[in-house]
Amino acid sequence: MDTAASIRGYIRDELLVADASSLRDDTPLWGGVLDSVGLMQLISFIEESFGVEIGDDELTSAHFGTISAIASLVDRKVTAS
Amino acid sequence: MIVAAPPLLEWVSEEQAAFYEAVVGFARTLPREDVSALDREAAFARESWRRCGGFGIQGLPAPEEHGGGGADVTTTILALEALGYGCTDNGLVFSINAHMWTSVVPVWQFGTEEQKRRWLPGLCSGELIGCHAMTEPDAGSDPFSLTASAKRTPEGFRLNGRKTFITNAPVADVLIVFARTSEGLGPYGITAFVIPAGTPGMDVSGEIDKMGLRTSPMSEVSLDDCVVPESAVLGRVGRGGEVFQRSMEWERACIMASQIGLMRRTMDTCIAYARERRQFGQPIGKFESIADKIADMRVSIDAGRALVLRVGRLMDRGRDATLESAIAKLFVSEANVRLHLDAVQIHGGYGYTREFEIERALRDSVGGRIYSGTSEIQRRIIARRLGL
Repeated sequence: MDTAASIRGYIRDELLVADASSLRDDTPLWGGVLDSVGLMQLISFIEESFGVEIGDDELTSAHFGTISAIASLVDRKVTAS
Repeated sequence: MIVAAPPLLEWVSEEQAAFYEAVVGFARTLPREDVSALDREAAFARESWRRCGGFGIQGLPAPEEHGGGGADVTTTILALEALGYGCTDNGLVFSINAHMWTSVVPVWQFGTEEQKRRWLPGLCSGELIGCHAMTEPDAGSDPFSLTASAKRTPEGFRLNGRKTFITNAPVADVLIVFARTSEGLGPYGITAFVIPAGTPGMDVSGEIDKMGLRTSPMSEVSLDDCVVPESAVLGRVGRGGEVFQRSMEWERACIMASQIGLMRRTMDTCIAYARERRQFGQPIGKFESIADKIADMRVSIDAGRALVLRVGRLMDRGRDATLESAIAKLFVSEANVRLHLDAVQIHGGYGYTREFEIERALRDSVGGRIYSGTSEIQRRIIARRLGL
């Protein structure tokens, strides 16, 4: 499973987003799909599942605004490690 | 005397049920007669606090190596229900809950080994009192909009800001203060700091006079160039939102357990009164209008307990309980107010006086719809997880 699919699956299955069928990789996540608690759960999932650590300066809407942005950040970190 | 003890064995093990009764027995040894005076004076029962620590209440879920009891979440929940049932000082029980979920749990789960060694034994034993300072005058239901700042300095961090509605602050020995270290997304960019009371630049004052839970002290906290070392950071820089969220998860489950204990105590009082009080030649409990109210109390207690224990089971299995905690918090806090309004009604004119505990218990129950996330916020959490 690629990174984006894994993140999409977590949001759909664990964060219980009912309209997940319409969730696309470029759907804005913050303020619509995810609330504060959901965002914290998602970041915890990413750090544990991909073995990466998200830095304080990376916790921005630029990196966590969409599934594709998150996947891009995670892939870069995995490649670098 | 237990008049109508709801059974526990269908929910928990015999050992846990026995522990529940042991906590009830202990709680009944705490002073009962002067709680009305403490309520009038808004006074804190420090000696009872120490005795609860000595019994092992405050440290229950923390590891034994740090002075805790090593109990699982379910056992902890049962103990706090039992404490709420046996102890008539509802404000003290509330303060103990606040201390456990906003200082014991965060230091245990996010602290460095040094922080755990320094703080946990005292926080568990009852020697120390802790609290957290999150809420601000303009950041209540939206806590992550807080504006208190923590700027890096050569010595560590310099904190500035104002906090309000801080339970336990007037008597606290250590405070976990949340402040913004960067402009992060949503809950990020906030850092938690463990700060001993008396640290220069941190002032605890402006005690808040409350409608209920008056024996649980509350005040404001101001930070004016309060400098703390790097070693004061609890958890990771910018990740204080996770510390706060962990506290809320425990708090929403366990404070409601104590509310169920209170509801059970009030139901017992109502049953005894409905049997003893006679009107129109018979006990008032023979009137359906009275008996129905008490029957509804029992339904609320059993349903609330099931919801709270569900959270405990999920947490014990390492599962997320955000949705279930919100459901339990919403149901129990609302049921608690309804139950106490009915209890006042059952007691008639006597229930409206300060002669009976019912009046104080009603005032104490109202805060449950506000603290740890208002009922409106709980509904929002639930609705969001329904995709709404």
